[in-house]
Amino acid sequence: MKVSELSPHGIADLLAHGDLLVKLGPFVARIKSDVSTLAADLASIYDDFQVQPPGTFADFHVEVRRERGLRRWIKPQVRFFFDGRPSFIPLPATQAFPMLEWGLNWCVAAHCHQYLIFHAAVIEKGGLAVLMPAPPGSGKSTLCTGLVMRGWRLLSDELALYDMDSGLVHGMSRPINLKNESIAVIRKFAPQAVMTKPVADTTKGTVALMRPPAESVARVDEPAHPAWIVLPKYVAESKPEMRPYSKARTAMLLAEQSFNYDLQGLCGFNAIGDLVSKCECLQFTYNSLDDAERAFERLNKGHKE
Amino acid sequence: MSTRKDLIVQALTEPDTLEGLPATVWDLLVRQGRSTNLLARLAHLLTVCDRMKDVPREPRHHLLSALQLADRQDSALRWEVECIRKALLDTQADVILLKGAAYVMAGRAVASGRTFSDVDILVSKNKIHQAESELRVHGWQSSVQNEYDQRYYREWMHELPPMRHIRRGTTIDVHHTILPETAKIKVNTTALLKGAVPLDGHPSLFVLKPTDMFLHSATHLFHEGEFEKALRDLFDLDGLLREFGTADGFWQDLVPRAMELGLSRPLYYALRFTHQILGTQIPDHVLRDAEIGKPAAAIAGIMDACFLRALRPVHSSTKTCGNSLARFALYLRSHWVRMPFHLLAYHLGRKAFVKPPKPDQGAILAAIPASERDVA
Amino acid sequence: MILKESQPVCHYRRTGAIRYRMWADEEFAVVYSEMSGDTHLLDSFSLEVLNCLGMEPKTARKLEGELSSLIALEDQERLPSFVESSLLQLQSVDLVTATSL
Repeated sequence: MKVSELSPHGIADLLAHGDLLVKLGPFVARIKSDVSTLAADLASIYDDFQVQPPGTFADFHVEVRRERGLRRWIKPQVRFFFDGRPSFIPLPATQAFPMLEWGLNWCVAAHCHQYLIFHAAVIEKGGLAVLMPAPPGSGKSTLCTGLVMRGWRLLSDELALYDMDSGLVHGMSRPINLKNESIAVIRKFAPQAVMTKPVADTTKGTVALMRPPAESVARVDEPAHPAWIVLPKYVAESKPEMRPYSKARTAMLLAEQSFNYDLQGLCGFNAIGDLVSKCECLQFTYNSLDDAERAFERLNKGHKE
Repeated sequence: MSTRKDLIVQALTEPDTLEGLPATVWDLLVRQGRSTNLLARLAHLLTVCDRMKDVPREPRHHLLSALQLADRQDSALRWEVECIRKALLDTQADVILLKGAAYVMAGRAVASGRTFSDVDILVSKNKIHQAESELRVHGWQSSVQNEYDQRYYREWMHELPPMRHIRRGTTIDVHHTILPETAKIKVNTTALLKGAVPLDGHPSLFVLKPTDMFLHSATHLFHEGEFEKALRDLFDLDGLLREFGTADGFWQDLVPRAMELGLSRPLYYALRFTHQILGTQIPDHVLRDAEIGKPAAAIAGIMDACFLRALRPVHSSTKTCGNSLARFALYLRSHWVRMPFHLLAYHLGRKAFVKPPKPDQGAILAAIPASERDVA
Repeated sequence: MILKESQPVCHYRRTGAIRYRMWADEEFAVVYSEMSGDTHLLDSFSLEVLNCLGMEPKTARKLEGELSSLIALEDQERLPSFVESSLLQLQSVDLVTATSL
């Protein structure tokens, strides 16, 4: 059953009791919340996601709850709970849905060491995936969104789940996190995109969450073969350029952009070495999403020749 | 209070009862295991008795991930101990490893599946300042900046303020005795230090001898007041008794040594509660002899009630009003045991009114929350 | 006659086992230290210094002798400073340990 098959009241009710079990790719989250805006956002942005039956093993028990006391009424705040324990500091109630997303990212990154997890976007076309590791602020989410709106399948905009045994990358196809100017850029580039109302004053600036394409969500259980590792760099008024990048530096960057590389020990080192060996490692400079679309198309076709 | 075992305790003491468990029970077990820091220990146990393959896929991933973390921390700890050893070489002090670091380096069975963070060491009081300077030279810095907390550690407690390594980010706690000098219980530190045994293959490193290692862990659990790790610490005690209990002379020496060190009270509690809660096998004569450490009848009853509640897993599934009150009462008691009353009031009062500095929101969101961060 | 006490000569050895990966036509390698679990990006010369150093301590002078074939004739004069700066870098990341014998 999908989230879209539940009534808004049904969703709110399940959330209130902590009985909403949502499938997120390889994981299941049990979500609880007493925040009505979160229920509405979830209904809209997660509508294509599968709801699991009661009695399913949940990998994470998460809750976004209104703070008690004065903070319930004056400048209301919400807090994230992981298995009943408060985690992180409270945030303004308007940030409830982004808080859920950040919290879920943390849950996966901190606990799921069956994968080598990179802070990277992953998109796929024709069975081959592009991995885009990038420090925050490098424009990878905007780029990722643009390409996803032009036919690439979304595996993830934040967490690349790399299976070291199979060499395949998995994702959760979860909502894409857009910040500041990129919200307007995407609205213009893809007017059909469904987004939450932008929320201001988060630590990342203004944030909106975009609904992932239905097809990406439907194919979430299909992993992909990584073929390219691309480091995107948005440079205003530049000519689009895809240049080879040092494999050693790419390997180092992947290690630095991983949440659990250190935990994986020698296996992790070998896995990263193998990954950069088998992928083409590139640096991509661009100044528009249209340029990016063409450049990635060439990349994809080039591999087929 | 229920006499039924908590799920995580049952899983660890009777792993064959895990066969055919429904998904919802695995769900609770993984969560209890995680909140008690015993998930990796359960994973290790299941691996050793070849039951891991029978665990359903989803909970199995969580068990294996927890074990992976513990294994990595074991390697990291060994490297850290080596760095500390090199740093303190010139002090020519005998460095005694305590708690987790001792379990790992001495190859104790309880080290398997255990998580660690800080390293605790014990050096004699006359070497402590030299140790502090050498650590500074080698990249450690005091992690406590305000004057009040510095005084708290140096004057009232039994250790230097924790020091953090600037590059590795690891923490070391340097003690000169195992309980504060201000504490009600007077530990015979001289005898404790004298009994330390050298660590095979590691010049200048020592660990406490078996009776003392057990007594120190018991003292830490029953006098520290931090109950987040209480059940895990109790399992440590159980593991130490299982391993040491087979060695010649251990049971005979245990009670006399406790008396010599001034630790008969924590010994009494340790034996009582490992036996009651975990079913640890302890010879009857030892249990009887250990009664010498029993408090007066009225107090014994209250302590029983408090500890039996406080030693349950700290988790929403075991939350009752009684448990939280019990833990709070024991927290107060532990401070009372560690510090005379007038100092205690000052310490707790000041703490209540000083707000911690506002953390950087972005850093917090990116980091592991304090509730998930392991403290040895 | 006053005999001058000789200064202890610094010897260097690798801290522990390492693994590394290097790709064709690249000047840097990624190196994994099995003791510390750390991963480093090292220039190829430093990697040669590391490979040259085993667990048996060697002096900087001995290293220079063994590595001279890697350096062009016109740069031989600067070999000691290359070796010194590599050793410093490798010590700072705990890949090399210095001992005075």
